[in-house]
Amino acid sequence: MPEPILSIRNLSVGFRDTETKEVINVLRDVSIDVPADHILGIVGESGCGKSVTMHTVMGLLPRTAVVTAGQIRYDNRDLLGLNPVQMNEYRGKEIAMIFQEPMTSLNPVYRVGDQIAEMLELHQDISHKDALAEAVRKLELVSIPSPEKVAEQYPHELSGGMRQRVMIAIAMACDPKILIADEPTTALDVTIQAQILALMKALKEKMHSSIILITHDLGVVAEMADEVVVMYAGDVVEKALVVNLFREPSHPYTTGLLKSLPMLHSSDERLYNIVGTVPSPRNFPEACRFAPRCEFVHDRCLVERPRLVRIAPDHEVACWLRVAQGAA
Amino acid sequence: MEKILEVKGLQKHFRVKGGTLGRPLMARAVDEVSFDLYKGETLGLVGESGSGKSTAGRALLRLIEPTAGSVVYRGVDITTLRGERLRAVRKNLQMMFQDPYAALNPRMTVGEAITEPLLTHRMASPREAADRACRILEDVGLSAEYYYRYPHEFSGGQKQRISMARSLAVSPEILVADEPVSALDVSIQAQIINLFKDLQAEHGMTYLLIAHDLSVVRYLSDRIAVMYLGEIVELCSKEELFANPLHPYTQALISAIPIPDPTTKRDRIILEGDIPSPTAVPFGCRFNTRCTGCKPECHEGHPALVDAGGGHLVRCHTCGMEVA
Repeated sequence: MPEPILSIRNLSVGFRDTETKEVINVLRDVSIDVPADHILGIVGESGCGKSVTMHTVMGLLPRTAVVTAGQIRYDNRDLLGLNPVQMNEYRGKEIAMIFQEPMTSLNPVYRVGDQIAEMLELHQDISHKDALAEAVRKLELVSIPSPEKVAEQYPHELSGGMRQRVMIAIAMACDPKILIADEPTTALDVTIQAQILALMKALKEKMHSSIILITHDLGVVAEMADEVVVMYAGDVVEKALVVNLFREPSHPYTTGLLKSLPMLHSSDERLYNIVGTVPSPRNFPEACRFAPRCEFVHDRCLVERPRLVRIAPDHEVACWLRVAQGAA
Repeated sequence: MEKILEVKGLQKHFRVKGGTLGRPLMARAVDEVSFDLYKGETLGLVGESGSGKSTAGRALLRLIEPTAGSVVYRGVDITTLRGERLRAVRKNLQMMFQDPYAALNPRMTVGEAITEPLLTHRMASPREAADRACRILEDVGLSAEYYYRYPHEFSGGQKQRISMARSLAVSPEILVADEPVSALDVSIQAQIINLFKDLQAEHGMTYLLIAHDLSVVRYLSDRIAVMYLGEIVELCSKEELFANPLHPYTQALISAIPIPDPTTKRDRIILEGDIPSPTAVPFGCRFNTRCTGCKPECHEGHPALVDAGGGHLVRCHTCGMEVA
């Protein structure tokens, strides 16, 4: 693995209960490295902490959140130690983010061109006129047909796919080193999803930036990512190069997810069920958080927490089963 | 196989804001949709947002009134029925929705939600209805203990089971399921998909499955109809559709599904642009704004849905020719 440009080290984040003031832990010791010029996929179901992790990186956590431990190293600094003014220097310029629903991220009362220009004016010494001209070039970059016209339009005049392109144009405006994309295609139709994914890949090739792609869709990950992090209930349970993960999924949660995909099975095969549901953070088990749903659960899983161990080069998993096998 | 439902020329045009006094602007949400449904099968209706698949599902149950066409259930045209007779037929055709949060009344207990249709259709006394509700709860993989609980106490997957129990309470012959798993997480999705299969095996249910996710549709359906801009553009068996998709739209749709296997490499057909608005349907073939294989005739005449051989129906000027 090349030297990471972003390094999340043992990050733990909790949320304070507004009534009891008690801190409920959600993220537990999350460590993720993002090398330069790399697409990292983070997969997991709702409530696994994939978005909370990235919101921490961007300094976008709500007030009730408490970072109880950890570091986020970027550019030889710990982003968690920055004050809001310093954070603004990084956010958008060095690390940018796009979200699932572009309509809620775009300002409905400003023209598209002005919204891209705002980003440029914020981080660069540039006149409004020049910024507007640059905005048109950014729209061209994300393959929007007739960019001059679109720059004059309002978000509601655009389709969902076009809006997501505009979001990408805003995010990429200052040539950030890292683009965090939180479910960027979930709200889009599959043919439009194909357009946006192809665009993200092409931009990455062109700008040599890294992408952190948060998604629940294992198909999207398989196609886009170089490396994958699987999260479950606030834990990183498996980390691997994309080929390894799909060839030899090692955590029971990962194997369960793959076995439950209708895509990979014919109709006469019964789909695998991971029993039960993700518990609420209040009821996260102390030891292995997946234990109540795991079909291979044994005594040790209930009392001691498994840490990530390396089972192959570029493949780590947090499961006692693999530790036992590794030792044997 | 026994044909139990025949949909012919189903049409739903909405009048929308705009247009002029003489010519009001019409959104042609569903146009000339025709298909048959056979006992015990699953017909998948796929398409992207704006294709009219949900409108078609609702119009055929008359949850919204179709503007033209007929829906014949076991010899009775339900588009002309009213009052008590409509209610009697509706008992056999039930609907299930995408969002179980919105589909269940938060102020009704699970028991009330499931017994309500039984009482509405006067199929049971309150006591019998309660007994039946408990049995159905178990059928859908929940426990009868949940009878007195409220929807907010359940997870998304459990709510979808409750919503399914409610639809199945009156023992319908046909269940129209509109995106039944798209709001659910992958692991929960598999549970509900399995439940669909089990209930079909046990009770011989017939499903019309409306979904945008081709992998779910492929897994559950026997036949698949692909919709684009209000029309069925291709209809055939599932195996045939995936082995030999004829319509350029179907081909693009299939190639756009991300495959959860990083070692597969394939040539993806990336369509340009978006689906046009149903208020401005392109002249000629409706797909001509995005099709890569357009011929002059595609901008002139509107193609008909024709049999390209062996019951494989397709609506395309160019691919029809290849076969002929």
